[in-house]
Amino acid sequence: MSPRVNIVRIFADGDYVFAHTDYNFNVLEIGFEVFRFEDGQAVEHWDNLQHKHSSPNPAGHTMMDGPTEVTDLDKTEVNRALVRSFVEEILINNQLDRLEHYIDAAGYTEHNPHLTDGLPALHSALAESSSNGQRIIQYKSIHRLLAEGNFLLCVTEGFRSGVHSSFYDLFRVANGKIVEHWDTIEAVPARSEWVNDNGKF
Amino acid sequence: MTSNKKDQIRKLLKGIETGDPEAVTVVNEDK
Repeated sequence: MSPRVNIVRIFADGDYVFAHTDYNFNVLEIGFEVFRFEDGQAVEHWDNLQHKHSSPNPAGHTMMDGPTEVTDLDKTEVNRALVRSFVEEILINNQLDRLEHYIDAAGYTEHNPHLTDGLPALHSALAESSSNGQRIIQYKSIHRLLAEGNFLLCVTEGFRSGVHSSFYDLFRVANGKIVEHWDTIEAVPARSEWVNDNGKF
Repeated sequence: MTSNKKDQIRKLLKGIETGDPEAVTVVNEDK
């Protein structure tokens, strides 16, 4: 079977273009693609792929559905600051008591295949710990935060269940709050498996 | 210019599916 590519969302931020893609390469995968331009051509590329879940999450959302239209272009930098603060304060520093400051409690839509809508599910997922007391999800450092209007993609390095991982989180912001979230998580290959010297981030 | 970049990346990614050799002209292979 020939490969199939469905570009569901695509955004631009200065010299960067970032896309949310649905692939069928005989295996079904959801991806985020990031390209950096110089002098009108793409000179650098990053991606983050995750196996596509065949069924919707408990709230009925797939890894790809939901709004695609860019709005609020005049709020790009305000939204970028909001999401940066959310990632630093909540995801990296785990100040979960501040969750409601960033997330729209009345209307938060979640596309992660394992979660449902609303604050309680997100709070539980971020607070979950393994038997040794370590958090399952550990965000460590932001590498890139790309934005166009109401859509923002944050690229973060961290650990999931102790595995060195790359987190690509796409947020939609409305009226100063995060109202929707899509993501992919990929294990970072060991250095011995790299086919170039550029690194995952 | 922004739309042009998006269009170029759309074409590049769809090129995986179509095999269109023109799609990869957006990539600067020297860099």
